[in-house]
Formats: sequence, structure tokens, C-alpha cells
Amino acid sequence: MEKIREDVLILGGGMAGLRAAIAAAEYNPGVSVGLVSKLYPLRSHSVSAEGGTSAVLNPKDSFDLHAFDTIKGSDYLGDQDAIEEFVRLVPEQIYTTDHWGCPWSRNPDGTISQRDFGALSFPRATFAADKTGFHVMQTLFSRALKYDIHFYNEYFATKLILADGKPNAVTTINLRNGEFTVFQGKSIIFAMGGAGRLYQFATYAHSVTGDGDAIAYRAGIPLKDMEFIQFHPTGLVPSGILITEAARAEGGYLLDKDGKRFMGTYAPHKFETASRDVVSRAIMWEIEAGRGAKGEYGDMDYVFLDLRHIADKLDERLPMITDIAKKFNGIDAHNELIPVHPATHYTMGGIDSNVKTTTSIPGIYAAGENACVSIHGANRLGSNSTNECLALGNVAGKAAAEYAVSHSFPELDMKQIEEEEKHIWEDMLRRDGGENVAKIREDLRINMDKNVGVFRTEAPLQNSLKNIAALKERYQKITIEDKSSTFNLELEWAFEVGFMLDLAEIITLGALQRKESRGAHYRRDFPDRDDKNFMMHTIATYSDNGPILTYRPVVVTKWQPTVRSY
Amino acid sequence: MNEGPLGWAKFYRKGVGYFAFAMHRLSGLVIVFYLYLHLFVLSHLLSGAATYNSLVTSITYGPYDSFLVLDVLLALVIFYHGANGTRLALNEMGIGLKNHKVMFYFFESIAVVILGVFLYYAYMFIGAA
Amino acid sequence: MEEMVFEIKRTDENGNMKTQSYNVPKDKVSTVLEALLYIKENLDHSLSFRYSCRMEICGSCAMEINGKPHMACSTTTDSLKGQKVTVAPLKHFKVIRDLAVDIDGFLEKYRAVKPYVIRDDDGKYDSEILQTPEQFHEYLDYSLCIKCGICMAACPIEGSDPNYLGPAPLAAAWRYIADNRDQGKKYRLEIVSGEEGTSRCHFAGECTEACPKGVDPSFAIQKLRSSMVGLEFQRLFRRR
Repeated sequence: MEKIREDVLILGGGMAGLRAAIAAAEYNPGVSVGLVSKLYPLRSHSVSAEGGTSAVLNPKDSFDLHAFDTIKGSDYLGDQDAIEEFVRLVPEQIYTTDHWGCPWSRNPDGTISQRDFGALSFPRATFAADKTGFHVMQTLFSRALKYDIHFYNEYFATKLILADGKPNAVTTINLRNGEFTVFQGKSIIFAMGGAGRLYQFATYAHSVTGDGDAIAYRAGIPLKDMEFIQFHPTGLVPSGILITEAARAEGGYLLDKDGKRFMGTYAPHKFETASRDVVSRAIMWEIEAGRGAKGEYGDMDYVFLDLRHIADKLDERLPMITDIAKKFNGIDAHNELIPVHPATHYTMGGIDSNVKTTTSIPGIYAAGENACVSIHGANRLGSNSTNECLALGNVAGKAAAEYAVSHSFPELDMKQIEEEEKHIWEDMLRRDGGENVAKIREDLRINMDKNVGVFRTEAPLQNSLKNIAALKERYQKITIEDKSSTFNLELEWAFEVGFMLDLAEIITLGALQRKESRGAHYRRDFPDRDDKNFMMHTIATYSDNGPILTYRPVVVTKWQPTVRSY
Repeated sequence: MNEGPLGWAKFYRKGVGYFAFAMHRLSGLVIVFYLYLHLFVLSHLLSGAATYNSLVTSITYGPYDSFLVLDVLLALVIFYHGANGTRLALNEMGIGLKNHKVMFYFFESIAVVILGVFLYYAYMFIGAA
Repeated sequence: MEEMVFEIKRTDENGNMKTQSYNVPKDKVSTVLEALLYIKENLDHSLSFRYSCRMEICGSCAMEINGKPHMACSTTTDSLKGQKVTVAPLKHFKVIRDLAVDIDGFLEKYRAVKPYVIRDDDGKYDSEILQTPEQFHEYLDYSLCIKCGICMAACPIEGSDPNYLGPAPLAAAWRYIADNRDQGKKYRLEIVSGEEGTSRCHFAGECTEACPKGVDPSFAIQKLRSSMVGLEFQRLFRRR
């Protein structure tokens, strides 16, 4: 057993984690900062963010407008006080990353360029071609190398240990050599990303398995609004790779199988640039009405994204998706149509936190997709995730460093730690019921796609609960055939599947109990928004008998909920 | 992990730049080897004009005139190395970087022309005498 | 059902090597990464490799496919000729297990070239630094590096001199020098002009041929050299 102490311990090496690490290191060079990730930081899913990041930079734009767009996008489930504060934090982050070398796309006069994006009332998406996340991540990682930040790459976190309501330790497996490693931080930041790989057809990297959410939840930190899963309208068929919303914001059309534009029916003002939940549902309805194309890529129906009329913009503003269409599908976007289908894209829910990034446990902070502030409410606006990672990652880093300065390391709770060590080597690795971890994972994903997808109804949700219970039983009987201590992916998978099963249950239960349609959560049996009963956040708390759901009212400042249409 | 110089000799599915690089190194080694050989031949001058002359004559007119084939190969190697070296020097100063492959062919063509001229005069030298 | 044979060069945790073949149904997979996942999920649970984004942007799954370094995720099975595919770990890196290699040394080299903007006014972030589209395109191509290590595996010098900084770190050095927001040129030129820097490059150009993202490290290295020549000339004339 190896023990490592860092004043500020950051879990997750994505955009929020790196930004927090830099902020903590800058806040006080005397504070030691450790960043633990199950990947290398640059392998995090943040690099896949494409389209842009919203920031109020133009004098003609305003914070209120950005806040209102976000609130309307959230279908009035976002906490308005948090959103108002958040939008004011963003511009500084854009300039900061610019000074650090991020290649933000430029206007001819040398200033940072901005473009339109889904459901924005002002073109405020700051972008680096269609590789925004990639470039920001490269910038942050490179900048982080300037400081004495300790990177612990390829350590897989298994459990957060609390003692007396205070953070005590995080247990991990060093994938490189199988060493059970215990990390201790005076303060801990959760920045482990979302849970999108609960679904089969997802824009997510394979590694996004909700570890952060599940670890926090099991330790007793509540999760918020987990039933809100965003489906991005344009996942490339059949791989699910993201085709950025910018493709539509730059003027791309969605076409049915006969080549007819259909978004006018669903969003008469915004057409293709309506918010993501609206466009995704529109595509699903078109497909259900038999107007989707099919055949070429297995049994999945799809619609087309047409970029032919903006072919001259592709190389400068959308180079990555042009390249992806070519490399993965052999399609030349300049003169061919791209097949797309809605794909899981973002987890609006997460660790219950606020705009100060604190959680219910003092000393534990959450940032990025791992956290639920809630800024995004029931539906995140495109271009509002990377800016959240930057702005709140920064807040979390400073807050955690400040906390670390005035607190000391608690005594390690060896009893719980040894229990966990035993659980890994003597329970998980030695289970022998013959069940294949990968098969359970696949069945879970099929279940989520089918029963907890874009459209939800009572009966399939009940079914999903049953399926998950059955899968949990099978999970007790897994066999890990790989007994190696070095780079044991199968053991990692086993933990991830355990995490995902817990989260799937919370998501399904939340969806079942939310008897209304709001943002990304659409109940066929309750197609209207119900502000009287459900302008509430779902709070899921761990108990041995499954999640306990409670509700907390949304904070409203100056925007009363009204009818939402695009 | 460390492949060593033998790695250079693997041309399978590599580009023209790699060919130029590997050949440059090999030709360099040959030239170094020749330098020592050359010094060895010249060192016969220490033993007087007669010794040296008889050695040179034996290589040029027999019985060891088969060495002349090696001389032709040596010329090939030197011109190759010189031409590619000129290209590399220009490239390293930033000249013609975008067209370095075209430049390779261009300079090597020049090398072939010079080699042709050399062979002509060499033949004339031997043939005339 | 048509099958493809994947011949994988495997290494266990004790360094023992063997080659193992797996038959993968052709219609179940469309890329090499999918094939590896298929093998891992269905045929052999002990196979180890790195992977994450599956869209050629995170840089995890670089490996040698049919004798050349490629990203497994973006190598489609259609693009491979023949029924047999050989897969091996990246060359020039120490193997941890199977197809996963140790990239720490590579990242250390990257860190060594100071791959971040260096400015005297660091810490003042109240507006952007102006950069025209022309200035922007001076460095953009070099900023596309995903740190996959493919160029390091393709570089013949890396094969015989593991201390050579290598294509990606040198390209990163140029990426920041070419950025008009940066003022750290002199520090970086000093680093790359060292014994393990640009002087080791012999312009085989294999890094550029191999790069999956269209970065041109060999070009960058020659640019670094010409900058150094320029600097030397300046010094010479200043002395007179």
C-alpha cells in the first residue's frame, strides 16, 4: 500500500481539473497540488469538445442576455442566481487562455472572433475552429507544466473515504503496477466528468463512465438532477462521433430521407439552431413518422446533415468534422450528406454543488460536468460546458487551495481503507460466477438507449428499473479472468460497470418520478411542463436500499418561467 | 526499444525522405572508409616514388584493375552524398523547405549528370593512355 | 461469415513476448480499435491497450499496424489490405503490457521545450492579445499535435538515440516561437540548439509522413534551424 499526501487533491485531469490545478498552484505556490486521473490529462474527453464556448466579449452583448439564454435553455430549471454570477466569470477566462496561447479563431482586425450557436440570441460562441476543447486542453496542460503540479496519471479511483463528515482519503489502483494507492488531500476537487457511456449511442469517449458521480454518491454526497441527460442532435452514424452544433450554426440544414428540411415545423424561428433537446426530439419524431433514412449503417435510422451549400466555410471553420466524415465514413462533406442521429452528449446532473463549487461536505469541491450547480438545469445550451469548466474550475482551485491553507491532514481511517483494499483484491478480483463484465455493460447500455432515451414513458421506465436490478444481481457474479497486476483493464471495467449501474438506477428513478416534460427529459405520458409541482431539483441521496429522492425548489431571480419556444 | 543503426536499413513502406536519409548515412560511411583507404595508398609515397607508382599502375592498368569498378561506385556515392548534402544545407537554412522532395530529385539529377561527365573523362583518361 | 485475422504482439507484465492471433468477424467491427475491443470483450479478457475518445483527438491508441505507426481508432478495416492484420506496440517506447507503452519520457521531452506562452506581463488578463489571421496561421498547424507519439515511433533517430528530443517536442517549440503572443524564443532556441536538439535531425521526414493530424514536425525543425542560423549571424555582425 502506497500513501501519497497532497494539500489540494484534484480528481480528474480534464478541463475543469487542469484549470483547478493551475488556479490552486497560482493561488499559493506553497500549496502542493496533486492531480489524479485514470488517463493521462490529454486523453480526457474534454479534448473532444468541438463547437465553441460562450462568453460576453462584445459590447453589444450583455450578461443578462447570456444569462437569459442559459435560463431559457435550461427550461427554467437552472438556478438563476448561480447563472447570473457564472456568466460574469467567463470573459476573464477567455482572455486568460488567450494569454496562455489558446488559438482562438480571429477576426481580420486581430480580435477574438465569435460565432452563432444553438439557441443563442447573440453570436457569442468563442471558438478555435471546431476543436475548441482540444485547443483549450492543450493550452491548459501545457500551462500546467509550468508549475510544480504533481500528475498522477493512470490511477483509477475506487472510493472516497469520509470520516466524521470530513474528507479522509481517496483509494486508487495504480494501473501501471497494480499498487493499491491511498491519496490524502486537505481539500479534494471532483472533476471527473459525466456519465454518458451509460448509453450505447453516445458522442462520449469510452472513458466517461460516471466514476466521479458514483464515488461521491456512494460516500454520501447527494447527486442532483441526474435524470437530465442531453442528447446531441447530430451524432455521426454509426460511430456516434460528435458532429458539432456549429455545423448547423454556420448554416447547415437537417434533411429527411427525401431531402426536405423539417425543422421549420418544430422551431419556426430558429430552425436548425434551436436548443439541442428541441432538435433531438424533432429528429426522433421525423424518424418515428417514417421519414428517416435507413439501410446503409445497420438497423439505425437517421436523418441527413447538409453542409453542401456552405462548402466554402468547411476548411476554415469546420475542419475537424469534415475530416471525421472523410476518415470514418468516407463522406466528402463538401458535396455529400452526413448521416446523423441523436446521441447522448452531456450529463446535466452531477454532484450537488453551487456556483462557489462547494458541496455538502466541507473541503470537497466539484467542478465541470461532474458537478451540478445548476447552471444547465434541464438542458445545457451548446457552448456552455467548456466555459463552465474554465470558470468554475478556477473557482474550485482557488477555494480548495484556500481551504487547504487553513486545515490539516486528518488521521488516515485505516479501517475503511483496509476494507476497500480487501474489497478490491479479495472480492472483485476473485468473484467467480462466470458473468462477463463487458456483456453486463452492453446490456445496461442497450437498456438505457431503449428505455431511458429521448422519449420516456412510465412502463419502459419501470422495465428499466427491473432490468437494472437484474443486472446488479448478475454483477455480483462476475468473473475477472485477467488476474494481472499490470494494466488490468478488465478490473477497471468491473469498477466502472458497478458505478454505471448505480447511476443508471438514479437516472431511471428520477425520470420515473418526474411526471412532466422539461428540457431534455420528455415524458410521452406527461408532455407538458409542470411548474407548479416540478420546478424543483431532484436530489438523490445514497442509502443501502437504493437512492432516496427528495426535491428542492429552483432559485428564481428576475426571469419568471414562460412558454419556451424557438 | 533502441533499434540501433540496423533500423536504418528497413525501407519497407517508408517515404523518399527516409530513403535519402538512410542512403546519406550509408554513403557517408563509405566515404569515411575511402578516406582511410586513400590515406593508405598515399602513405606509399613515404617509401619512395617507385613503390607508389607501381601501386597506382597496378590498380589502373592491372593486374588489380578490377578496383576501377569500385572507383566508379565511389564516385556515385560521393556525388550522391554531395548533392543531398547541398540540399540539406539549403533546407536547414529554410530555403526550399516546402519542396524538399522535389529538391532531392533535382539535386540527385544534377549528381547523375556530373557522374556521367566524370565517367566520360575517366574513360577518356584510361582509354587515351 | 467473413473473418479478419488479428496477429497481436503481446508482452506480459514480466516482459515475456508472444504473438497471438484472433479471428474477428468483419461485419462486427469497422476500425482496428473496435476490433481490439471486440477481442477484449469476447475472445480474450486479458488483452491490454489504451483507448479513449475513438475519434482521433485524444492520442491514446497509437500503435503499430501492419508495420507502420497509426491510430487504431481511425484506421478503418476497409483501408487495410488483405485478411491479416499485424498489431504491435509503438516502436521506440518501453512496453508496459501488450499494446500499452510508457509515454512518460516522451512527455518529459515535451515539457523540456517550455511548451507554453512566455510573457513579461504574465498575469494581466483584461483583454485579448491582438493576432491577425495571418499571424494565427503561422503556428496553427503545429498546434494540432495530439501527443500520440506516432512521430517518435517513426523517427529513425529516436531509434538509435533515445535522448534526442524528437519531432513532437521540437514541433511544439516551434509552435510557440511562431506564435506572436510569445516572447520566449531565446529560451527555447537555447534548449533546442543543444546536443540532443535539432542537430540530431537528418530530415528523413518520416515524422511528417506518419503524423495523423497533418502536423509537419520536420518542417518545424528546419525552421528552428534557420532561426538559429539567423541568430548566429546577428551575433557575428554585432561583434564587429
